Amino acid sequence: MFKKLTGVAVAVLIATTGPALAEKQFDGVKLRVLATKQAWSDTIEKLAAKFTEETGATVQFDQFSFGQAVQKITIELTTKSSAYDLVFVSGSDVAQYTPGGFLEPLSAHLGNRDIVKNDPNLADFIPATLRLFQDSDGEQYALPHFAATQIMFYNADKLKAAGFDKPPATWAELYDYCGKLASPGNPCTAMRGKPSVSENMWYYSQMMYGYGGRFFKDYPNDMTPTVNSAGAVEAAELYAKLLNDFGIPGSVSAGFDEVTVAMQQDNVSLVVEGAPLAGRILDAKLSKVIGKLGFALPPAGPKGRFAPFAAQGYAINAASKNKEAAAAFLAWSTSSETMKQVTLDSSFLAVTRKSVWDDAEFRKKHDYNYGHGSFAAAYEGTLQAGVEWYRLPFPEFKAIADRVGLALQEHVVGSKTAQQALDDANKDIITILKRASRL
Amino acid sequence: MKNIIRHRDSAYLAMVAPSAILLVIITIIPILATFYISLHFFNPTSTRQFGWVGWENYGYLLEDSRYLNSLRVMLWLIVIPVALQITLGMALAIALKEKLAGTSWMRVLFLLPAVIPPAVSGLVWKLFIVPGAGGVTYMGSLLGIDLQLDLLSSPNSALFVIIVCSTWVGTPFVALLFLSSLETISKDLYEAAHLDGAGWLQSHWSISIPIMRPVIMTVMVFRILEALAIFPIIFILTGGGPAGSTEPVNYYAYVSGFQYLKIDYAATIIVSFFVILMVFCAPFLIRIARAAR
Repeated sequence: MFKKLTGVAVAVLIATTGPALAEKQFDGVKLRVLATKQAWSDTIEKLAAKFTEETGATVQFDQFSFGQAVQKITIELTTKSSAYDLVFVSGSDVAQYTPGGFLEPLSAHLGNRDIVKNDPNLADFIPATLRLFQDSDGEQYALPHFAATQIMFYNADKLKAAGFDKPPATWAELYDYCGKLASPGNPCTAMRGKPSVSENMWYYSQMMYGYGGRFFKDYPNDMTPTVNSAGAVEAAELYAKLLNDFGIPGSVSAGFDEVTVAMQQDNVSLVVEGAPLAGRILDAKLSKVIGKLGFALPPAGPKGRFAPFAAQGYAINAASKNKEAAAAFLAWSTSSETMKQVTLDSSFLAVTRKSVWDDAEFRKKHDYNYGHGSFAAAYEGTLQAGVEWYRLPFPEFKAIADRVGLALQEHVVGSKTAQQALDDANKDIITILKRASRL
Repeated sequence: MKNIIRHRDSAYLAMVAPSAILLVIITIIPILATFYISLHFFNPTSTRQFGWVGWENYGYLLEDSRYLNSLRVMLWLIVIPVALQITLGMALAIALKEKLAGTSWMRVLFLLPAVIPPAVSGLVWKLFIVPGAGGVTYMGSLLGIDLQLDLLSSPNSALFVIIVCSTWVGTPFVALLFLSSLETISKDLYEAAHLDGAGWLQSHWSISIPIMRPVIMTVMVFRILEALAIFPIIFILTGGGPAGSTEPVNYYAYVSGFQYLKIDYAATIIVSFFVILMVFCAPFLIRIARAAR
C-alpha cells in the first residue's frame, strides 16, 4: 500500500512540476541593454518579465541620458566590448558602425525559427523606418521601435485670440504670426538652440532644405559642401530671428526638454517639435494645455516642406556572447503586441508598426483630438512628408552636422553673421571630408 | 675606491629605477603613443583604414577654425584666472598673516573650494546662476533688483562665468601656499623696514614679494598646468558653448576623440596642447632651475 501511494505521489509530482522544470530556450542567459532614458525603455524594462517567462532569459537595462548613452555606446562598440548585448542606435548610426563590423547582421537570426519563434512580420513596419537600419546591400542591422518627426503644436485659443483661424503653413508665416502672438514676457515659441545634430540641426535642417539649401552639391556623387549657399544663409537668418525675437529665455542652449516644458506649461503659443513628445506635452498630471492644442504639419519653405525624419531602435552588439537570445528579445520587444502594450502603458506613441497605428485602442488613447484635428492623423501625415535623407547616412555626417549647428549658434549669439558663420563651417567641413578621403 | 663608487652608483640606480620605470610607463610611453597616433589616420568608424599620414593632421589643425578658436579660449582661461589667482591669493595670504579682524576662520573656509570635486563645483555654480531660480536672482531680489540674467547664453558672459569659477577654485590653494611661505619670513625684516619708515604696503612690496619670488614662480607654473583642469566645470556649466566661447583645446580634443572618434585628430590636438603648455611654462621653469643652482 505504501509503495503504491509513493508511486502515485511521484507520478503526481512529475506531472505537476515537469513542465516547470523543463529547460526554457535561453535559461541562464542574462541580456544587458544599453539604452537611452525614455518612455519606451522604461516600459519595455517592466514588460521584460514576460519575455523572461517565455524564454528564461533575464534582461537588464542600463539607461543613460541621450548624449551620455550615445557616447557610451560608441565606446562600447568600437572597443568591441561584450558588456552589452543590445545597444540603442539611431538610423544614421548604421553607416557609422557597419563598416567596422560593430553591429550584428540580423537577417539570419530573424529568419531562424529556432531562435525567433514567431515571424517578426517585417512587412508590418513603416518601410522607411526599416530602411534606415539597412546597409547598401539591404542587410538589416536593427529593428526600429521609434519613428521620429516634428509636427506643429499650436494653442488654438491663443491663435484665435490673435485673429488666426488656422496655423501658419510656411516659415515666413510663422514669423509673422509670432509678431502678433508675442508680447513682453510672453514668448511666441520655443526652439532647440543647443548645437548638435539632434538638437538645433534637427530643427534647422528642414528650414535649410525648405529654402533650397543642401549639405552637399550632389550627395553622394559630388560631396562638395554647400552649407553656405544662399538658401542655407536665408534659412539660418530666419532661424536666428525666430529664436532671438520670439524664443523663450535661454533658447540659445535649449534642447527638446526645455521646448517640451514650455509648451506643456502653456508658456508659448506654438512650437515645431518632436511628434513623439506629444505624450509628455499632454501628460495628464503635468500639462496645462490639455484640450487647447491643435496639430499641423511643420511649416514649408519656398522650395517645399521637408519634415524631419529619423528612426531609433536597438541593434545587437557584434561582440555580444548572447546573440541568439538578443535577437529573440529584439523581435519580441518590437512585436506588434509588445509595441501596442507599451503605448497603452505609457506616454510613448512613436510606434513603427502600421498595425499599431491602425489599432482602435491605440487611436483612442493617443488621438488627442480637441476639435482642432487629430494628433494621430497629423503625425501620420508628417511621417509621410518626412524625408529619409534628412540625416545623410555616412560616418562623418554627425561631425559635419554638429559643425553647422555650431555655426548656427555663432550667428544666434551675434558673434558672426550667418554668411560668415556658414562660410567658416563650410571650410571646416572640407577639412573633415578631406581627412576621411571623401574630397 | 673605484669599487666603492661603482657600488654606490649601483645602489643609486637600484633605488631610482622603480620610480624611473614607473615614470616611463605612466608618462613617457603615453606621450610617445599619443604622438605616434597623431602621425596616423585612426578613426575606428571610418571606411578609411589606419595608416601613416605624417604631419597631415597638424596641417589640418591650422585650417580648423574650431581649433583656432579653442586656442584663443585656452589663452583666456589660462592668463586671466592665473593672474587673478596669484593677485588675490597674495592679497588673501597677507590678510591672513596680518591676522586682521575676522580672518581667523578663513583658513578652514578657504579649503572648501579646493576640496570640492570640480563636477560638484560646476553644479553649485550652475544652480547659483541659473536665471529665475538661482542664487544670483535671489540676491538681486533681496536688493530689489530684477536679476534674471541668463549668463550662460552669451559668449562673453559665459566665458566670464568660467573665469570666475576657475579663480574661485584655484585662489584658496594659492593663498595657503603663499601664506605658508610668508610665515617663514623673519619678522625682524619687517621691523627693520618699519624703523626705516617703510609703510605696510612698501614692506610687502620690497620684502615679501622679492623673497617669495621663487615660490610665486613655482605656484604660477602649477596653476598654468592646472588652469585647464576645470574641464568638469566647463562640461557641466556650458558644454563648451555658446558658440564655442568656452571650449578650450582640451575640451575640443575630448569632443573630437569621444564624440566623433577621430582618435588621431584628438591625439594631434593633445600633442599641440602639450607643446603650447611647455612653451608657456618654459620661462618659469628655466628661472626656477637657475635659481636652484
